Amino acid sequence: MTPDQHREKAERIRSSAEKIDHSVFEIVIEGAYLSSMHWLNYALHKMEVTAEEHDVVHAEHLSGMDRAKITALMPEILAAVDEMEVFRTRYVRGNVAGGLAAARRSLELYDQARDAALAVQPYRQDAAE
Amino acid sequence: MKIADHFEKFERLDAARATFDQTEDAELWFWTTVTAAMQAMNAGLHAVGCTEERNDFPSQVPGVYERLSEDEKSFERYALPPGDLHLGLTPLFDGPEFIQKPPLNPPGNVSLGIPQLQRVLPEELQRACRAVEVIEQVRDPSIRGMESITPALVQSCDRAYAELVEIVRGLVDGTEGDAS
Repeated sequence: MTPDQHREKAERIRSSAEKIDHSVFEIVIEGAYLSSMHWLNYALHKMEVTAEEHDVVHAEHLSGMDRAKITALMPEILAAVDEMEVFRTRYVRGNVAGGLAAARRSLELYDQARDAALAVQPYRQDAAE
Repeated sequence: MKIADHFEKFERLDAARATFDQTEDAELWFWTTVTAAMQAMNAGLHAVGCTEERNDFPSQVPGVYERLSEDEKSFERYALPPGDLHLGLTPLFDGPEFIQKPPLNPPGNVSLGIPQLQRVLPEELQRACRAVEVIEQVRDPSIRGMESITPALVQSCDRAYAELVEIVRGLVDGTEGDAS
């Protein structure tokens, strides 16, 4: 997908998530996570780290080297997605107390991922002359 | 989780589906559908004894579960036999037999492979698996990707979801009846 397509998806999902009552904290978390993954891919393509035909599906499934590189290039976005992955295990697939607070935090993390993604610049690996 | 906990979540998620417009909010409508379906399916798998009812939750790594520590101050991760399944990571596309395949590597290997169930899937749950498969097939191309979520896709997901819910309700109600 192109960066613009990821952006369009992220904004559509975030806009839909505005409609859900926070008592359904699972979908607030899922909506924030899903749209943040589109922002992660937006940033990776914009920085020319990954090709448009190669999207990351789960940050937790990245190889060690890819994670290290993405952590160095866009720490705010990866940290946001990682924190939401933990919420998904505990509050979406699990039933630990605290789902509402996790939902509120997920919306902050979405903003963090979006703002960082919109600020990225293409990353050049050419040696300095 | 326990069957009752799966159903408590399922009921809230099922009601939440109506919040979304199937066209305007297609992605989140679908995601709510698949999240509710996962809760229903796990309740069904527990009800027939295919998977264990436990107080732990599946992580993004198949076969790795997380639970609260005894003092409830931290979380611990364990590699465990199938409890709740993370259906998005379970290879459904090989058909309903997916789940009965042996692990990709023999016991002792760090790769946990496909979960082995406690018993063979009964016929009703094989039908439920096929229903889940219809829904899951939309996830990657149309939600993570850009393929259109057509009215026909929405309709087929809706039908599959209704079938899944009917099957699971029947199984869980049957189990409750047996216990009384």
